[in-house]
Amino acid sequence: MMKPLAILLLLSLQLIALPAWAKGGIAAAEKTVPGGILAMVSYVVLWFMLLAYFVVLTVRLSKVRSDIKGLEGRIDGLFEDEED
Amino acid sequence: MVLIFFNTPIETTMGIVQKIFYVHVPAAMLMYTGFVVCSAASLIYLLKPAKIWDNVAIVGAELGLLFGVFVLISGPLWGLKAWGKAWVFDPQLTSALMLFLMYGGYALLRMFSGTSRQIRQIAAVLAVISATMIPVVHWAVSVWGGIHPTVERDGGGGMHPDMALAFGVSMLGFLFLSIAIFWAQVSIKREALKLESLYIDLEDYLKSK
Repeated sequence: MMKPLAILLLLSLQLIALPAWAKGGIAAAEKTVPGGILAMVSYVVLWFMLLAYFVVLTVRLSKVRSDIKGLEGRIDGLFEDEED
Repeated sequence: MVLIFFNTPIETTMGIVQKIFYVHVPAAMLMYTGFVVCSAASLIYLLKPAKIWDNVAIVGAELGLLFGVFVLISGPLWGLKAWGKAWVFDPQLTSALMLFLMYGGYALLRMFSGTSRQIRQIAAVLAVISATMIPVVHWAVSVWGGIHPTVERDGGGGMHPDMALAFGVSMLGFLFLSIAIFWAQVSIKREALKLESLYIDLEDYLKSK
């Protein structure tokens, strides 16, 4: 779980740093990018990020649930051994 | 979304790209909130070392970073149209990037340095120190100037009532969303803590037999 999050974080840092170091190229492209597309990209990024985060949360929750099941199995096995 | 795209008027100077403002500002507010929660929980952890405060700090940092990434993506997208440049080394932009990197460092430290008590304490100290950057980011424009707009802060121009309504609704939506994420994350962490202690109890029981 930690590795994908770290990769996501590093990728985000790269994406954020990109406009800072590539000012000339992006500023030149400005003339051709309409504001509506920029606004739309912004909203798409927001929804994508939220969706990705909910996937991460769901994976974490399912991991905790599977750990609980594993523990329950161990406890049940222990009681069965004691009864025998 | 409906209010933002169909009810609010299009800003005369910037045009449709101004609609990024309705999500950029609430995300920035939640970035601050997440980082404040992280630092406050870290301070409590340093004073009273309970694992739950350490977990609350991690959740706060994650929340802050999630919205921080969006702030640092949506801001340049707006700047590309409004300023003609995606990034300028304006005091507020630069300090916001520094704030993000500081808490990003905290998150990476927590991810790759294990879970020993010493690491948790070092990370908590880092989170408390990082909190000093939050007021710097917020008041960077009024102290050092720069080109970042101040719509709702001191010296800002204010908003059209329809824009204010959409902005208020968006703020409320983001607030509820962050509460839901925070609650879900803390619940997962709490369950994981309980599970961990149950495992330890089970191991102790097995050793004693």
